[in-house]
This record gives sequence, C-alpha cells and structure tokens, in this order.
Amino acid sequence: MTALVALIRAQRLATLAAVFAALSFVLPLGFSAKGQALHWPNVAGPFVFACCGLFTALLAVLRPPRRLAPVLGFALLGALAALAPLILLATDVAAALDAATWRSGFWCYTFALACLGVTTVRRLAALEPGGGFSAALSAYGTPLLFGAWVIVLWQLLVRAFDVPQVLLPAPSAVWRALWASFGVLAGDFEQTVLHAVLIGLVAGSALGFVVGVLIDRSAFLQRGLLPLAALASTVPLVGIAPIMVMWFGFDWHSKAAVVVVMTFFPMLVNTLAGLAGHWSLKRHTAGGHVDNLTGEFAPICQHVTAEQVDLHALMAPAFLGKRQNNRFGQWQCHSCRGRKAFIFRS
Amino acid sequence: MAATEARRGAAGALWFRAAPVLAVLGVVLVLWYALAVWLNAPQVIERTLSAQPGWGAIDLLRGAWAMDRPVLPAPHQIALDLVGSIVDWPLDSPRNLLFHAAVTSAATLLGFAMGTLLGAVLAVAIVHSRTLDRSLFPWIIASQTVPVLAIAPIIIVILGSMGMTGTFPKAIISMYLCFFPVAVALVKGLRSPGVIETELLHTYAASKPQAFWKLRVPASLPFLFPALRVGIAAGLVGAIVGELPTGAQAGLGARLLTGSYYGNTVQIWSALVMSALLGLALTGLVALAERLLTPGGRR
Repeated sequence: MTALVALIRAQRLATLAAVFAALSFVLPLGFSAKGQALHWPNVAGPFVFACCGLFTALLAVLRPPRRLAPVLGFALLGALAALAPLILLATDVAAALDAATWRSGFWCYTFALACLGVTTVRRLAALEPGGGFSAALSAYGTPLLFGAWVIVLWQLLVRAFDVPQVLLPAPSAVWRALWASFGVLAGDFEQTVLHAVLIGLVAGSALGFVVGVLIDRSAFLQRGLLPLAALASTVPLVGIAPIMVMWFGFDWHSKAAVVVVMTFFPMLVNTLAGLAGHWSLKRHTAGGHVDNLTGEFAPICQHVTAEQVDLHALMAPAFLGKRQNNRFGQWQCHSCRGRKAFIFRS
Repeated sequence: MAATEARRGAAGALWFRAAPVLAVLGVVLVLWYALAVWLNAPQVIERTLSAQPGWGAIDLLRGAWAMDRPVLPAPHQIALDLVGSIVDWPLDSPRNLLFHAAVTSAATLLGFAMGTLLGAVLAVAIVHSRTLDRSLFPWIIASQTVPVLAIAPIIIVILGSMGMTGTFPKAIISMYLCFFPVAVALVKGLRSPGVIETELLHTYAASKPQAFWKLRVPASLPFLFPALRVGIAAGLVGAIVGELPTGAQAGLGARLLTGSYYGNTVQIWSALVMSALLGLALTGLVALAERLLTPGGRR
C-alpha cells in the first residue's frame, strides 16, 4: 500500500491521466438526438484505442522507465491513445450527436491525453544521452514529439469546439489544402526559392563580403561608411519592397533585389566583426608577429609573404567563425620545420 | 594612431571623426543625384521636354530633380516632403508624418513590452526546466523562420473577429518579432554564471530564488540589453508590417501602402526616412536605459 502511494506521489501527472481516462469510460461522451448516451463501447474503432489509452496511463503510473526502448514504446502507446478521439471526430458518429456537443466523458479523455502527452515528452527529455543514436533521438525526438502533441490537441479542440475555419483551421484541413494544391505550391517554391532567394542570397552575401573587406582594409572608409551603414540598416526593409517592384518590375528580379538588400547588411556586419575584432589575433595565429623595430605586423619567417598571412587570417574568421580563446598560439612553417610558439599580448 | 590623435586639438579630433563621414555622405549624395537623373530622364523627356523643342541639359536636370512622381526622388525632395508634412499640418492631421510615427511607436512600444515579458518568462522557464529546454526551445527558433508577412494577416483576422482592432493586433505582431532575441539572449545570460560563482553561492547556503535574483539576473544584464536593442528595431518592423493589411488608416506602414497605391514615390521615401529616424530614436532610448541601469555602463 505504501509503495503504491509512493508511486502515485512520484507520478502525479500520470495518475491524473489514469484517473481521467478511467472517468471517460464511465461518463457519457455525448448524447444523440434521441437522448441516448454515447459511450466508448458504442464505437468500435475508437474503443480499442481508448482502452489502449487507459492501459498506457496505468502503465505510466506503475513504471517510470529510464532506458531508451521503454520510453519510445511508451511514446508510441501514447500516440495510439491519441487516435481514439481523432477517429471519433472524423467519423459520422459526431455528426449524429445532438448539436455536436461533447459531454464530460470526452473532455475527461482529452484532459487525460494532455497529461499523457506532457508525461511522454518529459520522459523523452529526461533520457540521459548515452550513445550517438539515443543522443540524437533525445535531441530531435523531444521537440518533434512536443510538436506532434500540440498538433493533436489543436485538432481535437478545433474540431470539438467547431471553431469556424476562417478563424483557425484544423491541422487536417491545412494538410488537405497542402496536398490538393501541391502543384501550385511547387511552382511557387520554384519562383520564390530557386529564383529570388538563391540568386539574391549569393549576390547579397558576395556584395556584403566584398564591401566588408574593402571597409576593413581602409581606415578612411571604416570611419566614414560605418556610421552611414548603421543608419541605413535601421530602415525597415519591408518598405523597400514597393520601390524595388517599381524599379525592377513584377518578375523575380524585384524579389531578388529585396533579398540582396536584406542579406547585405548582416553579411557586412559579420564580415567586419570577423575581420576587425580578431584581426591582430588572427594574424598571429596565421604566422605573423609584431616586428620589434617598426611595430608593424610581419611574417614570422621568410618562407611566407605578408599577403599569405593576411589571406589566411582573412579566411579563418569568416568561415570558421570561432574565437581564439587561448592566449597561446602555435604556427608551423612547412619549410622551416620548426614550431614556433608565442604568447599574445592583449 | 592613438598618439597622433592625442596630439591634435579637440576641434581637430572632431574634424578627424567627421571628415570621413561627410566625405562619404557627399559621395553618396552626388551618386544619388546622378542616379536620379539617369532613372528619371526617360520619363521627363517623354512627358515634358518632348513638347518644347530645343531643350538643354539644364532643363533635363531641373526636370529630373523636380518630378511629381519620380522613379527615384532627389534627396532634397524627400527632405522637403518630410519637413513640409511636419511643419505645414497640425499634429493630429493624417498628413503629418509625426502623427503616423506616434501611432506606429505606440504599437511598437506595447509590443516591445509584451515581447520582452514573454521572452523573459520563456527564458526563465527554459532555464529551470530540462523538458522545456529540450521540447520548446527548438520551436522558438523555428517560429522565426515563419515569415511575419504571412502571420500578420492571420493575426489581424483572428483578433478582428474577436472585436480587437487598432493598436493591439499590431502590438501582437510586433511582440512576435520582439520576444525571440530577448528569449535567446536571456537563456544564454541566465546560464552564463560559471561553476565558481555558482559554488560560491552554494557555500553561502543561498536558496534557489536568491541564487536567481542575486547571481543569474545580474549576470544576464549584459546579454539582455543588446537583445533589447535588436528587439525594439524588430518590433518596429513588426508594427509596420502589421499596418500593411489593416486597410491603411494610420501609421507609417499605412503611409507606405498609400504611397505605393498611388505611385507617390516621394511619400514612400519620406515615410521610409521617418521610420528609420523612429528606429534610431527607439534604439537610442534602449541604449540610454542600458547606460542608466547597467553598473559600469555599456560593455
């Protein structure tokens, strides 16, 4: 007895799910026009899944699993339990009900389902990531399961309350529309992504990168152009769209132009941050050092040119995007075969 | 560089800073005027100059820079339209750009407040619950991949059917853009205290709320304020987007929309400049708050 109380106390949410699932078998799901009460056994298909739901909820109270396979099986059982009201809503039983009102039994089961959903998500999230597969499953499976439960409850509530489609369509209606207009959407995809986005992205980021390098190389431009670029970047880019349509016409050129403008500033800002912030540091790691006499950067040995150092330093921040955290750096010249270590002074 | 700068006087230092900006600004203006001539010339020639024979380059320039509905308005036209709308009309007139700026900034500020609150609540919940961190956080990131232009009409229709119109739906859209940077930065900031700090509080036998308010919240401030600056700029974009499908009554977005309906390019450009100025002012406001609230100022 005390063991059972301890179990219930440890699994409050699952207990709640079990109690409400059991209640839904007692209370009426709804009333037909003649006044006859509808119970789970009256509908064959959903009945099986509702039994599965009750079983899952009881199982959840009894055994909190820790390993991957039971947790997955538990999530699967929960998914089966969700099928009961979904099928019930989709069949014509729902249409025969009195004014399509759902009674206490239905709401009890929905609440139990919500509790069950939270429990499954919680258990999958609590899974200790062991190997590669289970870690990936925990990282990607948890948000997917969470999203699936949100969609299930969305579908249930929208259909049960009979929310007008103008306000909020049920996920099933969205899916049907997606499937029916697949050809049109594929054409839209080609127009938007393949023409406007890809071309605009390549052009915009290339432009941002080149301008970023130019600004970085010239102190005059850095002081002159940056404040103006900051000012220009506060312009809300939605407003640029009508101007671009006016200039480039209604075809994809105008859309690509908007994409160019939108990708230009982030690329410019990040290129500058990558170049300027760690410029001296990167030069060090790329094989340069501060010359003691002139105070300028110079290659560390005669086998590399200053341009090579700069190129190496230029590529590293833009593509790796990693900060050099340690203050010690090593660089090896392949000709000298000698490793030279040095300490950075910040 | 620092040594040479120190040798100059105060006026010299100012000139040293302002000169490149002014030079680049001058080049941009010259290019703009040239581009205006190049883009407007065909229409000017077709509409006015073809009627009067023997026109010269001066006539072309004068025409291109003073067109009624130019392809690219000259800077002075935009400036005149902007100043004219503020000076010539009373503050509550729909022809005054300050009126529209006030409408938009009301929606932006309300949305910014709601978005900051939502982002903070989400961040605190995510930091304290492993389940939410794993299940909800990826969806918060995914929420920003949905284009706000597509969300805006949906929100306006749903809230409109509930009888809510005006500022509130726009503020919701603005909130949708605002909460994201705040939530992400706060999650990062609340987790920023290291092992040493956490263990120090542990040796003081600090309770969980104490550790939260005395360690995590102060540690998150340097992360919070840059996010707020990004958030309020995003919120302004959200409010403007929210004004587009409402049928263009008031606000900078409505001004942009009517401008593009009637092909009134000068109006579009002046509304754009006004919204850039508004964005600058709002960001400046947050930067000011940062300077006042963060000990030691901006980092």
